[in-house]
Amino acid sequence: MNGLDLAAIAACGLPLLAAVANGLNALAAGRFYGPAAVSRVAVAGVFGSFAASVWVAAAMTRQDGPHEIVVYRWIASGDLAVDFAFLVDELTVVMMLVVTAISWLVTRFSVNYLHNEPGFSRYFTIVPLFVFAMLVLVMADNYLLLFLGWEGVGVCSYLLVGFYRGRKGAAQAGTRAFIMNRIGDAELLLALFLLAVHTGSLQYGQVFAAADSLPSGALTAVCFLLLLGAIGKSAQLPLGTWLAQAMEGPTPSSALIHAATMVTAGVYLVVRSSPLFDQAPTALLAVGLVGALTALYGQLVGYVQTDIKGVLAASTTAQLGLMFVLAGLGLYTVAIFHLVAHAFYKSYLFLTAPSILHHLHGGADPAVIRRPAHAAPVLSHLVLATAVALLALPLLARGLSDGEQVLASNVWAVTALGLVSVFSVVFVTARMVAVGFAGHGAHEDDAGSHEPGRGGRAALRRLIAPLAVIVLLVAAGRVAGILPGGIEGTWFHGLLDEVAGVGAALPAGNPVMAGLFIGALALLAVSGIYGARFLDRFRDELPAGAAQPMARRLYWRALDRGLLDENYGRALVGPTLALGRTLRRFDRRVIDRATGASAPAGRPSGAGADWESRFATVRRAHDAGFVTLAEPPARLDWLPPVATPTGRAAAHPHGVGEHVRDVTTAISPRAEHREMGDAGVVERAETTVARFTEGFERVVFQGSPERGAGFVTNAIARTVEAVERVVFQANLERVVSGLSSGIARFTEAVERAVFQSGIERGLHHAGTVTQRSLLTIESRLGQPLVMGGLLVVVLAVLVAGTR
Amino acid sequence: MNEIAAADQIGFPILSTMVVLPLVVMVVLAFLRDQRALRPVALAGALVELALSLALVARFRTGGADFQFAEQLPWIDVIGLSYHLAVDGVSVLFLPLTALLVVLVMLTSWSSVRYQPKAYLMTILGFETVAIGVFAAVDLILFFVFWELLLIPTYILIKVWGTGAGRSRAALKYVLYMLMGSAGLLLGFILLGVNHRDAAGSGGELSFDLLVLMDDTVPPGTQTTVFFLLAFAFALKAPMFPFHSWMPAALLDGPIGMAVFLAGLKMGVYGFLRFVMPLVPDAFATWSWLIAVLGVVAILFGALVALAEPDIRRLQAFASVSHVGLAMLGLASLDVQGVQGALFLVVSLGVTSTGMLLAAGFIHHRVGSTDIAALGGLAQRAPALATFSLVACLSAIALPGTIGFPGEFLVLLGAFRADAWLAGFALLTVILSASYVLVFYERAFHGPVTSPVVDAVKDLRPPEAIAALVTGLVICAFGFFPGALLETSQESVRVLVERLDPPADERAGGG
Repeated sequence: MNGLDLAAIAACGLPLLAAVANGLNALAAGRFYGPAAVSRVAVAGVFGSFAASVWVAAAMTRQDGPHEIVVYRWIASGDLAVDFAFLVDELTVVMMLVVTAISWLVTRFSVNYLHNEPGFSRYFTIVPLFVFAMLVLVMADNYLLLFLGWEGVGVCSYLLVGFYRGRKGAAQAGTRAFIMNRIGDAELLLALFLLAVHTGSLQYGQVFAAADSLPSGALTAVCFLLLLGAIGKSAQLPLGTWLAQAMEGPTPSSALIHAATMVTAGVYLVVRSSPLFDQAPTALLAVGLVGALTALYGQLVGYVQTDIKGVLAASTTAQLGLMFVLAGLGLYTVAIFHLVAHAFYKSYLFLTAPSILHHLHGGADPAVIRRPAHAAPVLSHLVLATAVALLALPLLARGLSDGEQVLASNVWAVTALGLVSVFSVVFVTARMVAVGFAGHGAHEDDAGSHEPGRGGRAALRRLIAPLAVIVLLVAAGRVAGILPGGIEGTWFHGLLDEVAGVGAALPAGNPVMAGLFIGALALLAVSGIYGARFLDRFRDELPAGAAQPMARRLYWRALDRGLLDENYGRALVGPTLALGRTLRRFDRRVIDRATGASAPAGRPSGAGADWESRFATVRRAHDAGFVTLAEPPARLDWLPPVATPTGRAAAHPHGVGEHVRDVTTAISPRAEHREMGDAGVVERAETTVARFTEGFERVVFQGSPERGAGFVTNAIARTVEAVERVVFQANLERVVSGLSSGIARFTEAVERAVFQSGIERGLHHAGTVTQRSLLTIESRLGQPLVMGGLLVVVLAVLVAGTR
Repeated sequence: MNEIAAADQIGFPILSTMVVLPLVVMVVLAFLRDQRALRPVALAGALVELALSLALVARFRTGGADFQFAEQLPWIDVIGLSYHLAVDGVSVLFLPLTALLVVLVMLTSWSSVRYQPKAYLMTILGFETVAIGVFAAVDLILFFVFWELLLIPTYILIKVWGTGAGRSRAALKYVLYMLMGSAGLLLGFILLGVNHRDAAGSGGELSFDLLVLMDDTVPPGTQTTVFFLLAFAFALKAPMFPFHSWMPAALLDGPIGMAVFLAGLKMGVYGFLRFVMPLVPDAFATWSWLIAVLGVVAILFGALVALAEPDIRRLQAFASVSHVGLAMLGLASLDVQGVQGALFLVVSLGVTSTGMLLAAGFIHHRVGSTDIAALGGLAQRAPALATFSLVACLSAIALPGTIGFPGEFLVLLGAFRADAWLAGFALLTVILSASYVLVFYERAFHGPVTSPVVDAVKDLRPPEAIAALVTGLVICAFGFFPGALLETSQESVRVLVERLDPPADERAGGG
């Protein structure tokens, strides 16, 4: 084990150690060390990971190729063996550095931000845990270990979104985010199965080596499934709606997870799997198409958001979409460069958001802020300029300089993309500037700041300090010639070229997909112009014109995020829950009834009711701790007590031990009291056996009612009695009638379940849905989409002409 | 089938010791006067048993499919019965699992059982004896005896220490259900024994020894009959859809101490692995499509009903139905990974559902109900309980890094290889399980505290916290290091699956 191995393991292990230590301390209610030490442990763990990552990067430069580190065998079964192993190559190193650097800054920043919050220890347990999971994700040597990290970051995100436990919305948002992610994860698992079955391995190197021999259908399927997984994690359409709600979490964690690192895992997955995607052009185009549509969606939503985190979330969605577009074009290095730049840039914006909010009393709606006219601080101008330069230049340069080398359609696409990207970035950043920095000058009020004792400016300065580091890092990158990166000839491109270089020439892929892709990009361009002109919340009311109603409708659509969540609720969640309820009814009414009813909620009834009523009172008293038997009963202790409860217990049926309530006393209004004649077959048998066992119990265990009578005599007498009762009292007639009525009920219930709930309701549903969709289609005709459609045609003609 | 005697491996009849030890402790308890010493003594007994089971696993020889720690005494020679105990890769993990569950139940008895603790502890120990017997017996009739004896402590525990109003009915229902299958089970075993005698010609003798019967060739007709007789009994126990009806009742109305065993020890699935698959392999392979389809139906049915279930214990029952469906799908895949995954899944579920049920028990003990309407905001009052529940929940949704993941992954992989469409439907469990588990967690633990009962809740007490910590550690440790567990069953499962290889034409249509 050399230095590189140790460093890689340390990078991954240190945050885990910190998380475990803080977690145990938090579980012990802080008995081991105090809050100051908690934050120190977390920061130290994450910083140690950053330092180790730098070491890995340094050691990596001396290596020739990718380096593999097997820690131990994780899962082995049959012919499949999966190691807990790391792969260190250039792509990994870049991701490690980004993840650990931002994590370190965010963790440090959070120390002040979460000062005195109730969940302080919990927060500093989850954040290092997240860093661990994210590092596993990017360092994994095989798809299964990647999946471990993939799910791990999902859980940490879930925990941080629901960090404020008292809020109902926070918990709901967390759950929803996790479940939406799981939809993507299921597809990712399917991709893993396909790979394991076809290549016999999940290790990257072996999978990529076997990619050539895969049937092309399977390869395309794998790529599509990987894409679906990436869609879930990176909040792309149609699974992207969780990201906006994820903003319920503490802002620093939003910066870390929902802007800089976790959400980019989808892009990483696509780039990491580039050897597969390169051979599945249709899937690659789908990547681009999804990205373009998401960018469009994110942009539209971003224009109309009225709170800072909403703007940021929408812009993150859009930027992630652009990364997918880049990856879809096969420009993997540019995509990764965009990922890196975006991570720093967006976490900067996020980290300034709380300070802005603090200075505005939490008045997050920029509509109430005076519209800034001028005088944004120099810093904000700098940020703006850097961001624009970062994002726009590589794209434009690529598009203009390599025109001859790449297919014509790509030139078009990239140019359009560059334009859009400029618009989007300028617009969102300008809004941030407008909302934030200028607003800060207008409201010199410190009451909302975190530490009332200190001056607000001092607090702001302390908050800005880590941010300045980010800006400096970016600037340093520029000076060192790393930036702008990703395009050919730069250092960044050279670094990543071996891992995920552009294929010699981009394959054309499926013509339909290509057409759709171009169409989506065109729409994106239209929306950039259109949105900037008409949808700005700050813009003065335009004079009534032709464009106005259209704009208004678009505005509303964007404001409620395209109704995606509502439609999911109606189309998926609602029916699933309804199905669950129906099945539950079916289980109770048909299966339970056919095989003997389950215990009704509420009062004891039917078989064993007598026993129960005698037994419950005394046991309840026992449970409440009132009756202490003077001496243990002579015979078996667990028997139903014959004696009446003591006076005390009877007087206090609940007693002080109120929390140990017995459900027996809870009388449900839905309690079913049914005559035994209606019972199912098994229930009938149940009753019979119950009678017998009861008699038996009484005979054998309870012994004699009259003292002095011999046990054996008594037992015989009672057995005879019990048998007599069972045999003669249960008359045949009732058995038969019970049987037939049971069957009748069964058929009736089945009938009800099948016909009434199934077919009739189904018809009704189908009618409603058809009607509704017709209405929707009608109303959609004549919206701005038509304009976009025209542009698609124009672009398509142009592309065809160039070819 | 070869076997290695216990004397060669560890020097004393460890399996018999494990069967008898709980009985001894039970007797000691019966004569114990001091009420305060009851629980420590019982716990000590359970811990010794656990230590024995760990020694068993430590001495277990991996890399072979032999039966180990074997001990055999004549019982009723005339009909070929013998007291024959042994474990192999299929059964060895169930012994430490049973011992661990008993320890956990003992730990929680401090707070949750007030009514007649002595009798309660004695019944649990009696259950342990029988359960260990079930997993260690390799003589069919001996197994059957243990199998039936199991009903007695179960019945008593549900009926006397149950927490719901319907406990009597639930207890009866359970017993009736099990008895329905038992007759067939015995008949099936006898058919196999008779077949052995007939196959040997005129000088043949009856035998009910698993190791002997495994080498027999059973005619197809008999195989089918025996398959359905055995499968029915084990499906009732598992419980497999649509024979699951006893489980929600028993879990809701029974005590947590019993629910842990009912949901945690999936003896039905064990029965398939231990008896059905090796004894009637051809019939199993032929009918595997039926098992696979029922398995997928159970997965979806259980998950969907759990989604609509407002009570955590009934939810756990339906989750259990869903998980059993998954295990059955794995068995029916006739694939090494699928079967080994199913075995691992069943063992891991023992820990996972115990975690969930312990959490339910802690909640019930504090709030007096496990209905979602009575909860909400628990995390603010009982953070340690919330953390423990979360770990169990994450294992229940098979998160990688928990013990729940390797089993589910391997089962789905095996099923995918056998039939991609069925596996595709089964994969929905990934989404559905996350939905029902996390929606429950969210509504029980998050949000504002509304109920005064919840507001007064205290966090875990020391014995409970130890039980929670142990469960949590097992869940995480074997999530990251499942290799040790998988290794024990590798060879046994490989041999088992090789025997299943059906004729090629049947395989094509099979699940």
